[in-house]
Order: sequence, then C-alpha cells, then structure tokens
Amino acid sequence: MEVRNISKSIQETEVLCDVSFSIAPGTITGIVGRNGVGKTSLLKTMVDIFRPDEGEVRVKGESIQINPSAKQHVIFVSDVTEAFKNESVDHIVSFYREVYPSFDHAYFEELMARFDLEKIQQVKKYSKGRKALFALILAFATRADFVLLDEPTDGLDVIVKRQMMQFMVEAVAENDISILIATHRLDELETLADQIIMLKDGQVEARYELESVKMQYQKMQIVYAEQMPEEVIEKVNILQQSGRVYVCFIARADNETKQAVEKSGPLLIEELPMSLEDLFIAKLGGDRFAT
Amino acid sequence: MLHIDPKSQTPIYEQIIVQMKDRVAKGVLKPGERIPPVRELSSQIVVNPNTVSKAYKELEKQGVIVTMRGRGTFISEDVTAGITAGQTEHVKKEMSRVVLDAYYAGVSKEELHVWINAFYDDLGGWDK
Amino acid sequence: MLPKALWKKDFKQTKGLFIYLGLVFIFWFPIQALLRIDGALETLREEQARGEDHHLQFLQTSSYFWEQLLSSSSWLLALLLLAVIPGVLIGSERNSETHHVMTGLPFKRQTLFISKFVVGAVGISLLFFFAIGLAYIFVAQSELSFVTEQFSLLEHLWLPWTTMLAIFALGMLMGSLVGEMLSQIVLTLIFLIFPSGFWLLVRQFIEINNIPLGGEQWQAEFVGNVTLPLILLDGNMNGWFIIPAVMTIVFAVVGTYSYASAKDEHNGELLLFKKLNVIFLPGVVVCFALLGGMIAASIAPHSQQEFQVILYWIGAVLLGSGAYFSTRRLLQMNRGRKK
Repeated sequence: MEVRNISKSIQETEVLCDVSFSIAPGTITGIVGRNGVGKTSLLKTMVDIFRPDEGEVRVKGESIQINPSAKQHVIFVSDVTEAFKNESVDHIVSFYREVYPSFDHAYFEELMARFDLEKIQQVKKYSKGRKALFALILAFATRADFVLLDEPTDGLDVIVKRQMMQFMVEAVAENDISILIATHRLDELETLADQIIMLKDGQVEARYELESVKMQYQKMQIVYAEQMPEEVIEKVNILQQSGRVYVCFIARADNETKQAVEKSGPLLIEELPMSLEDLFIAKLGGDRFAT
Repeated sequence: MLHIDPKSQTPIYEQIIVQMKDRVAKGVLKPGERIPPVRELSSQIVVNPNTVSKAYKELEKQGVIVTMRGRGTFISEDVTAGITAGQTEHVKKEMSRVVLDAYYAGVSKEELHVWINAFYDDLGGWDK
Repeated sequence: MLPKALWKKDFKQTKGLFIYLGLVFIFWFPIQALLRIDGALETLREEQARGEDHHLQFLQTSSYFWEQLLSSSSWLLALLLLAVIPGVLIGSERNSETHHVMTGLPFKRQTLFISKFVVGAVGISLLFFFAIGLAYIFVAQSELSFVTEQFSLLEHLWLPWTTMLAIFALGMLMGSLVGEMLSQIVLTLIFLIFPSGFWLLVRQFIEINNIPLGGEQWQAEFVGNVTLPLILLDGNMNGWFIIPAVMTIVFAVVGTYSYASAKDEHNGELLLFKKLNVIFLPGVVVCFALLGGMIAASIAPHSQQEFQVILYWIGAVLLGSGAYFSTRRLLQMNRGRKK
C-alpha cells in the first residue's frame, strides 16, 4: 500500500502536505504526531473518505481514488464508534459479509469468543471499550490485507488492551496482514511497530525504523558546575533542564556536538535509557526544542 | 519467559538474542528443546513479529537454534559448534571494553577475575 | 460486486418512513375513494329523487372524481414525507459517522447514491401504484364504476407518479449539496415552492414599485408547471406531462455527480460546496428582502401608493439584513467541528 504525494486542505488550512510513504505486507506502522496534526485526516484519506486535493493512494498497484473496489483490501477503524449503533451484531456481520467477499465468519466467531464479547441486539449497549473491541474484531474478520486503526486502544482497560495487542501481533505473524496505527500512545508502539511515521504540520517530519532509531540517537544527562555554555545549548536538543542538570538528545553519529559537550567541561556525562516518547518530544515538542 | 525492556538502549531484537543465549547458557533451555514459534513468542511478549523473526534468524545463523519445516523451532543439538570465529572476536572486543571501563571505575584485575569465575559458575548444564 | 448489501441497509434505514408513506397513500387513495364513492352515490340518489341528472352527466363526462381524489388534503403529508425520506437516506448519515463509514467501504460514491435513489424511488413507486391501484379497483367494483372511463393514465397515474419522484429526487439532490439532515429537508421544501414563490415575490416588487414590466401569461404558466407541489395539487399541465419526469432525471444525474464530488469533511455544515456560498448568501438575502417588502407593504392601504413603497423598502431592508446575518451564521454552523 502506497501513499503518494497526498495533499489535502480542509477549510483553507492545509492539513496534509505532500505526504508519501508505503506500507509493506506483514508490517506494523505507527503514525504519531501531536493532537490535531492530521493523523485522522490521513487515515481517512487513505480509504478515500476524504478526497485528496493532490496525490493518490495505491493498494496492490491500483489507485483507490480511481477504482474504489481496491478498498476491499483496506479497512479503516474509526475512533468514533457511532455508526451502526442501533444495529444488532448479526445484522452488522451480515452487512460486512456482503460487502467484503473475504469476510471470514468462523474467524469472527472465534474472535468474539476469545474476547468474550456477546452478540447483542444493539451495538450501542456495549461499553465504550467493547465497542472499540467489536469494531476491531469486525475489521480483522474481513481479512483485509491492510487494517488502519485510529487510536485503537482508546477506552480499553489494560487487560483487554494487552490481549488486543497480542492479537494484532499474531494476526500480523500468521496472516501477513499489515496494520497501521495512528496514536499518541507511544509506549504501545514501542515494541510493536516496524516503522514510525511522525507527522508535524501535515508533513512527514521523520520516518524511523524502530530498531534503528535507538542506534541513531542517545539520551544524555549532562551536569555542569555552573550553566551549560551557550554554544553547547545551540547544538544539543534539550529535553529537560532542572538547575544545572541537562537532559539532552544527541545523534549518535554527531561527533562534533559530542566533542563540544566534552570540551565544555561538564561535571558528569551519562547516557540514559531512551524511549520513543523522548524522541517524540525532541522532534515534535515545539519550537523550544528545535535545533 | 523473556523480559523485554522497550526503554533499554539495546534494540529489541538484540535483547531477544541475548536473553535466548543466556537461557541456553544457564541451562534453562536445553539442546533439542522446542522453543515457541515466532507467532507465539511475539504474542507472549507483545513484540512485532518481524522483530522476533529477525532475532530468530540471527540466532539460527549463530547456530543457537534450528528451524525444522513443519516441526517447529528448537535449540540446536550442538549449540557450541555454532559459535564462530567471528563471534569469538566479538567477545574479545567486548571484553576489552569492559576491562577499560573497569580500569577507569577502579576495579582491580583480581576483582574482575573473581567476577568472571563467578559468572562462569552460574552457567549450569552442558558447558562445564 | 452487487450492492445488495447497500440496498438492504438503505431500505432498513427508510423502512419506518415507508410505513408512514404507505399509510398516507392508503388513506389518500383507497380510503378516500371509498368515502367519495359513497358521497357521490348519495348525491346521485338525491338527484335521482329530484328527477335530475346534472351530476351524473358531470361525472360521466369529466375527470372530476379523479381530480378530487388526487388533490385531497393528504397530499401535503405525502409531500412532507417525500422530502423527509431523502433526509434519512443522506442527511442522517452525514449527521452521524455513518457517512464516513459508508464512503470508506469499497464502493464508488456514485454507487452509494444510486443505491439510495433506487431504494427510495422503487419504494415510493410501489406504494403509490399499490394504493392508487386499490382505489381504482374499489371504484371499478362499485356502482360508480363508470367513472373509471374518465381515468387518464397520463393525468392520473403518470403525472402524480413522476411528480412524486421529482419531489423525492429534489430531496436527494439537496442531500448531495447540503451537509446536514434538517437543513436538507428545509431546503428541499423551500426549493419545492421556489419557482412560484420567487415569481410571486418578483411580481409584487414590480407592482408596488410601479415598474413598467408586464408579466406574460406564458411565464406564469411555466412557473406553475415547474412548481412540483402545484402540479401534484392541480395537475393542469396543458400537455407538458413530461416536465416532472425530466426534472427527476436531471436531479438524479446532477445529484449523483455532486454526491460523488462533494467534500465530505464539510459534513455537518450547511453547504458542502463552498463555492455555492457565493450564490446562496445573496440569493437568500434577496428573497427575504422581497418577502419583507411584500409583508410590510401589505400593512398599508391600497390607496396610499407612496406610503406602500416606503413601507416596502423598510421591510425589505429589515428582513434582508436580518437574513444576511442569520445566513452568515448558518453558513458557519459546525465549522471547525472535530473531523
């Protein structure tokens, strides 16, 4: 699945600007970015709910803008679970069976049993978490090759959340499907994603292979007797400062900065464990952290 | 069975490799023992299956595990035979780094020896 | 892929309204027919007792019976339902997340629209044919069976049928332009009476301001012939029986096109196409100004012409500016809602 040069304006504001990336089969992709950065718009454009002003989305080589039946292979799960709220589980399932020829009813039943979800007469009677869970089960049961999830774990309790994540991992391993997760819950992506796409101001700010990102950057704690000299401040990415203690972010390969730090005579330089969240703050935290 | 620390400096696939080797070295996993397939392990530890798969491939390359089509994945029968010259070199390099660190940290040569002996004693099973 | 799933879903959505429409039709045609047969027979008997046969001749030679039946008061209720059905088919989906779910499915947008159109049109047609057929059978079985000779397929079947379809189609067209259900229904109703309504406003403007512009008879006739509720009520088309059918087709084609090209991120707002604001805002202001003028002028006695003109302009400015500000607010409705 390929997103090619998508641009989209909503109400005179450019929400997406020349966004391109691709999703390989059997992978998990995380889309991260601050609230309102266009994550949901991007997902909606990827299934042509929103029509792009420019660019196209290709699934298995076919443009979904030109040929919507290519969307059989893609399913989008919204974080709003309002649609079909008055319908019964059986009705919704029969609808999806007719729309998606690949719908796997046995798999659906299996998942319902696994997550202990009963088939009720009105979906709106499910709790918030169960609604989200039901939407996910329905999506996976279509056996679509690409599953796009918008804040999938919102409203799920920790136990169900873990079950859900385990299930996603299995689905990817077993069926070679690809999952795209738009979220601000970075901790969840940390062990899940093959690649992370960071959005900022409607643009792809950065794309990371999760495994390599830790090799690229390091988080350092630097303590000075006085203050960090100006020329060092200019070079490093400061995540946090309390008194004379600075927590910074430095590209591993950036020897120039490292030398500058060493030359400035700090009392202590120490590497700290780094999470995706640190990277997120450093990259998207705002102008304060821009280098 | 494995414990993954997402915040660690070490990439996740490397954590899997290290921990697997550690389990084998400590005799927790015995040669010929069946280990969970990629799908199962990734589900257990909630880690991207491609990451687990990458780790398994590396372990296989290093001769720690073998995958038999249709039967599953097992700890290699002759797990030591798989340790190649390249890896010995790697261990040697790592060691020199540790010794350097120890020197600056003020750890004496004798103390280091004691530690090494103790670590070796910890490893159970087959390689005494 | 057959959109059977869509038909089922669209039907489910409108089932309730079809039941109401069916009830209205049954009251309108077969039940009214029975009542009118009784009434007519009563009149005929009284006439016979007096030894006259005027009414009998009248019924035998004119389509009076059928025209009375078709224009009975139920038509207003039917008209309302015909405007509401498209609202439920399209507008209600735009009000909820359903529209987004539907457009995310592997269907062309045209397919979505056509499915809705077919479900609505077929439902309306079947109910109408059933009800009017039943009415025809009741008449044919009664002592009044001779009036069936006056039943004109063109005037009493084709014309009301295509007019109802055109009303429904206008509602569907509105659904493809408007982002919200209630606005869709209200605008449908406004545009249904728009040709005659606007004509009346313009005529009043010309008359009160003494503008030397004569209205021609053919113009008034044309306006009447494209005002769908009037066709339904009156059916006097002077042979232009094709008009509602043409309107149906035009609305359907334009609706399909605009439904497919509308920017759905504007769902919830008044107009989906921002370019229409340019026409919509001045259009509404002009109409309301004309309306305001007409109402204000009607206060003044006919003899005082100058006073009438002054009042007309005060009314026009007041209602026009009121319309300007409220329409601007309406156009801002739900903007910036979370997408």
